[in-house]
Amino acid sequence: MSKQSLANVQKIFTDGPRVINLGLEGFADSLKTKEVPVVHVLWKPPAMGDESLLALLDKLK
Amino acid sequence: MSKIDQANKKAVERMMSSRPVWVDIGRAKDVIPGMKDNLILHAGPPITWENMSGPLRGAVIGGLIHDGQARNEEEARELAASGDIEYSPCHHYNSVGPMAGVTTPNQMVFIIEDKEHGGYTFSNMNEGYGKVLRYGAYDEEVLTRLRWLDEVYATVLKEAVKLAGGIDIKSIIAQALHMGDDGHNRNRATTSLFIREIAPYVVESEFGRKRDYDTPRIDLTNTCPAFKDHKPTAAAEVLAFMHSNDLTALNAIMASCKAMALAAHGIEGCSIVSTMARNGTEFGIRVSGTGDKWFTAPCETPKGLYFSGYSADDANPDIGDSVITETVGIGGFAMAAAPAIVNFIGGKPSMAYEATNEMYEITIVENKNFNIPALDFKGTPTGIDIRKVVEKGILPRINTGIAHKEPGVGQIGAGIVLPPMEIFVEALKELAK
Repeated sequence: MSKQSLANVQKIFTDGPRVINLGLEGFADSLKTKEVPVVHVLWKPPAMGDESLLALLDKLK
Repeated sequence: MSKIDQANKKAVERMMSSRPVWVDIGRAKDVIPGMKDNLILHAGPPITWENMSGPLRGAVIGGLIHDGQARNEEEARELAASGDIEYSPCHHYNSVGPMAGVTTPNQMVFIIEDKEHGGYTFSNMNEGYGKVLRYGAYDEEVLTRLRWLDEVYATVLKEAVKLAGGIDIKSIIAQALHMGDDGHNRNRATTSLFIREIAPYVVESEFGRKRDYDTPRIDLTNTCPAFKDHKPTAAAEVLAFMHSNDLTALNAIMASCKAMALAAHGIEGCSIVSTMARNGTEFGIRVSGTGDKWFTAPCETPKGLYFSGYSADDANPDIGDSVITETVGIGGFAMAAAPAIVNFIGGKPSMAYEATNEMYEITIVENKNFNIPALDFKGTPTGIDIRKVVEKGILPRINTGIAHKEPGVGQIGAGIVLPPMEIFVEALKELAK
């Protein structure tokens, strides 16, 4: 690990993390209650993860 | 561009170029093609008397009494269950109705003409808040108001709209989105603009000048206290009634939205939703490319704010055709235009912006006619693509009123509801056949 990378890791412990949260909003909410800076990104698996629906969607492109 | 994308583009172009104009008022059985004496239209997808929820049953009972087909509740219940009455979705007759949506053969209805694509759409009259037929109430006060609406209100407005030469409803919707309305749950601006357009002709109408008429009057002294001391003209009463009810314009707006949706219906291969509606038991959609087939599933109960004394335990599952507004890109899809609506349905103004922004994920265009000042005049999200709904797992957000589950009580709150995902999945499977 380079010195710069190591310094960045150490910053998490000195300055606190800044978080991008994907998917389940509950994780972002709990960080917000601790006043941790967090950006939530709405994301779900395409077609709710159902492969047969993904195949249908592919057919209907 | 794929064939589906071409079909979708055609659908939304037709939807947005539709030009609905309120041109007349008439008796349902005289003006709605196919309407007949033993037919009752209702909101949502098809349903039998046995499966109707409380508010819809109540509205059918009240509708039969009001229509002169039954003398009392007992007779109406017997007739409703006898098999002699046919029930059909309003949508099968190019009509729409808020909440129960019950439209009877002798009821007076708004007539909207699509000046671009031709054809007519219809809706009943809005009765106001509280205990009303569309929420399943049918006591004497409700029936007296319905009679006044058919015999006085409709007569004056029919004359007035003829004198006006028609009222452009699309223009009213566009302006109202700049004045804090969403066009579904908040209609203070649409109704104000509606009154501005029609008022001069109401005053000019022949029936409007009458101070004496045979129909029992309704009490408007809450709106106009001075009516206690003198007998107003029919025109003054009509204008007072319109002013007393922020939802006055809703039904004409809904019929206009129906005209827009109808213009986009029946295009081969198209994956755009052309109908969304609820009957209090099931939520149904129809998709342009799958024709008149309904895709249905049990509907949910809205989440929102309840009037004092009521809670979610009292609520009926989702009901009404008013979701035709979201189908064409207003209502919940235009919530960013109406941040004050959260006073009525709960939440924070930021939620209104989030709701609109999320709907861009499942629609294919920004509306050319309806735009939102707070989003730099961006067009409202329009044209719900079932492929996007299923792929992204995002459901249309719908603003709605909440009915009490028992007939006769009325509205008990307002909120937001989502349709069931499985109906979009089933529609997708059908389209892929």
